[in-house]
Amino acid sequence: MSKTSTIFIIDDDPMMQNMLKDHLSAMSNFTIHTFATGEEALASGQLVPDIVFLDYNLDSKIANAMDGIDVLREIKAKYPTTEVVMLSGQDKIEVAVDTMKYGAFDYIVKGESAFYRAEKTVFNLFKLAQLKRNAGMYKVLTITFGVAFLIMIIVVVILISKGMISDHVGWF
Amino acid sequence: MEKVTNLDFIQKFSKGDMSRVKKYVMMYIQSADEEMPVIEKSFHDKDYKKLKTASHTLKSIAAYMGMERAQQLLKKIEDSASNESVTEEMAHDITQLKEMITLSKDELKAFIAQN
Repeated sequence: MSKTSTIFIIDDDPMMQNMLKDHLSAMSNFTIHTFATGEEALASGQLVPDIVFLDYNLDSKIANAMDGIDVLREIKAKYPTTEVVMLSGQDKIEVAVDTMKYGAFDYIVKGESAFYRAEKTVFNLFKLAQLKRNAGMYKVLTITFGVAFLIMIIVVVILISKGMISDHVGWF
Repeated sequence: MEKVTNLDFIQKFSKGDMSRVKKYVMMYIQSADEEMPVIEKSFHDKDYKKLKTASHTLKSIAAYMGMERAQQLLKKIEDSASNESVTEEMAHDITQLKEMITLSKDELKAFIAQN
């Protein structure tokens, strides 16, 4: 995740959309897109979000709209690396468990503290992305050193077999 | 009379940016204008799903305007609508809520006019 990470906010409540967008915009220069339905977000073409804030009760205002869980499943299938943070007005453990089961990274209960939780979650996701990048880098380094060591062993064996080096001390 | 709204949170959240405070206040007024008639109509029509949805939506936005009593009433209405246990008491709650919403809009419009 770079500094120009793309964030989607999918919520049918315009006030929540606006407040969360304003709050996250103040954090960094993210590219933030807001959608009232999951269908709109999924149809947004080439845009691949790094983080999605997704309302759990998406089908409450717009009849026949996909609900939050359906959208979560579609997003994870379409963009496996995208992290989804669920938003809900319900502080119910079963709702939270349900969302985690389908791959949500976190679950935030709407209210005054939701914006600060969202900020913290974005920060944690950046840290996680950094750790993943570092782990990848160490993996490449380990493989590189392993291959280099193997090549060195092969060269030494070849040189020994050709008598170009020996374990004799001195000059021949 | 005691005020029904409290903009402490929204002002702190907006970090003193009055244009942001006004934007959120206007959004609240607009949503209240949309949701309150839905609450009344769905209660009258016994449309529990609509009643639950509208009270849930209004509860969320009323919270940002510091309307604790309205939030409690809306929670009660939402829970009753979820259980489809709509009683006569709810008619009283809705009347009380409507008065509160009207008062809140008056207070907030006055706030906008002053700032």
